[in-house]
Amino acid sequence: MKIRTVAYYTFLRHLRDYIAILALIAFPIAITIILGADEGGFKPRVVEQVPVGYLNEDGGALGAAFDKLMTSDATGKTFEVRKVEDADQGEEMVRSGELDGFVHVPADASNRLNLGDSVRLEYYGKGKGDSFQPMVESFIRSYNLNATLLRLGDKSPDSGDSGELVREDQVETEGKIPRAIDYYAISFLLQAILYGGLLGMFAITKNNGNHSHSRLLAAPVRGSQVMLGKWIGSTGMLFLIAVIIFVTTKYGYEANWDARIGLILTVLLLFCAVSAALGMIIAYLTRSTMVASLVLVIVTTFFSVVAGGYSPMESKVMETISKFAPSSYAQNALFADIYDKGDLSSNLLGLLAYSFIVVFLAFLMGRRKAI
Amino acid sequence: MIVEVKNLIKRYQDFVALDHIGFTVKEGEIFGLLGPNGAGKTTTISILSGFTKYDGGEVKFLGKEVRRHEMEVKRELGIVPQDIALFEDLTAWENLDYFGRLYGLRGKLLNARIKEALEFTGLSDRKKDRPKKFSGGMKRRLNIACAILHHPKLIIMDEPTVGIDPQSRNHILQSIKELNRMGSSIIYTSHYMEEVREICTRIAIVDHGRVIANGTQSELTSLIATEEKVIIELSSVNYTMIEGIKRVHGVRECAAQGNRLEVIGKIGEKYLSKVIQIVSESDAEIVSMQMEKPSLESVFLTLTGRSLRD
Ligand SMILES: Nc1ncnc2c1ncn2[C@@H]1O[C@H](COP(=O)(O)OP(=O)(O)O)[C@@H](O)[C@H]1O
Ligand SMILES: [Mg+2]
Repeated sequence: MKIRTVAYYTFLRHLRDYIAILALIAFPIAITIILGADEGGFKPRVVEQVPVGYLNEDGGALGAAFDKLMTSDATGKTFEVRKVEDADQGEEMVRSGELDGFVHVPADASNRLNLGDSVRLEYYGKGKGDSFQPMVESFIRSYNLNATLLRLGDKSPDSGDSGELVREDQVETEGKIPRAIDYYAISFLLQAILYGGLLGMFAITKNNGNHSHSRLLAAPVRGSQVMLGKWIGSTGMLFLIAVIIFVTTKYGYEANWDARIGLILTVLLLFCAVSAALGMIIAYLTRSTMVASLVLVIVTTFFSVVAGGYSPMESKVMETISKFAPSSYAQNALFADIYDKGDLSSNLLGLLAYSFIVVFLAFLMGRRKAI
Repeated sequence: MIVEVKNLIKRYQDFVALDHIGFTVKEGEIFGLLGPNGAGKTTTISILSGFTKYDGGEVKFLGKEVRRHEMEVKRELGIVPQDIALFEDLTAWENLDYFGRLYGLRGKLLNARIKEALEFTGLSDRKKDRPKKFSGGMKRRLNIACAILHHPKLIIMDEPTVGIDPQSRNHILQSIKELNRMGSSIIYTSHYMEEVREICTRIAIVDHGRVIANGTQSELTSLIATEEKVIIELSSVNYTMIEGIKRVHGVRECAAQGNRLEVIGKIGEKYLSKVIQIVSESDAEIVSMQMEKPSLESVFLTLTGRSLRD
């Protein structure tokens, strides 16, 4: 009950600090829109033609249509299209960077379509910066008007650990490739939540500033109860902020949040909980609003850079360091569900473990009467 | 005994803030801790309230060792901290609701207690305002209101009148007496001698973390002084009257200045009614009468060689 009281009033006090709350909401939305509109800042600029390849083994109607697409003038304006001898070679060329994308149309594609079977075009691409894939995708869409069972992708590259370079995207619907706005919508939301650790921090330092902590110390309430209440109240406020940003970018700006809603909310809630606890830990350790804010900004920026908050990270070192950033887990989990790439459950577990650790640490510190 | 403090020691690194301090507070009294800034009053109180550790000695509240019964002790205590401890971003009502709940109050009882505390401190019409907009005196009053919601057995007030106007100060001093009448024992700390003299039944004078004198006001003053001065304004003064008064047991000196009579008497001797009898026998009317006792200020000055205000 006392935890609930502390949580409620912590929440209410955050709510009254409406300028801070507005800033936390407005910042990620604004920056998502600004950076998201500038597609070139995110995707490779198409100055020269992009080298792509294909292997068409199908002699039927589908194969003919695909050939026609690849050799059309419109395609030639953007892409430098090469025919490739076999699928393995195409994959290898993407991996080595010679090609940006490669599509394999299997031999019996037309026949199987006619028999009513589903057909897959295997696609290899360099990942997010890719612009070949949407074209192949739109080909599938137009072809689907006649034959509904054609799909793109689905086959993993055979060589095990080449995952960093050759990413396979299973693409079924429009917008599944992250556009800039989709990417930034997620990463800046997560970043805003991390900065929102300020709320956890304020929940501690604001009291010390105006001596109200001495009354909390004198009250018959345990340090652990106060800590938990402040954590819950701050997490709640932060979660409300996160949901507002999420709803705004999803419905207001149509960023791609095409994951299960329950999963998105779970990830956001866990991440808010981590963030609030981190803010509290920093406040307990530094015991000063100024120092705590500074540390929080540094930690947050570090985590965001490491997790690829500003641009996707592709290096191995970064991937290792990113294990320390809670945003990596949250971001990977969301991407896993939205774009069907990466491992959802391990990232979710990682985030869960992370939150247990930081909340436990905050609990240990808050329990000792720091309040 | 509601509070027993014995040989209490508190160190901050090498600095000894409390040096074997000791005193007792009886149930139902207003006990004053009088001492200059830095004497150790706030430190003593925070130890008694159970949130500061100490390095030696014994602190008991209601017969229980404070550090072993932290929660029980805290439930029965109301603290008015020296620094105003309010949430500036919550309204007066919300502040009271918050703290009332922390003391376990709920529902109708809580609402009744909040109303009562607001009325008691004269803040009923400001309950929806935030302390941000309050004057210093109103903040001090809300600071008190937050401490009395749960009807504590003991209310500890740490310099509750610092930095406020005389009217608010008076209001606060009156309300302390009222709280005491309603059944709470009170520990009142101050470095204002007049306040302590006005409301406290017993007083401990502290300096440098030690109790340098301890007792009722008259006990304390009699420590340093054995005589007091009575000034009587009369319609007329005559020689036989003065000679008569001089012969009263307990009177050391009597002198007249116009119609003003100054009598120096020994503290504790019952000479005053005799003096008045002599005056009335000589057909003179008493216009006014006042007694000058040695002040606590002078007690402090005598014991420490310093003034309280320094
Ligand atoms: N947290 C602390 N650290 C170091 N010294 C302290 C601390 N708190 C109080 N003191 C010192 O202990 C002495 C007593 O302080 P305090 O109890 O606040 O006195 P008072 O309330 O009578 O003015 C002072 O000299 C003060 O400087
Ligand atoms: Mg003090």
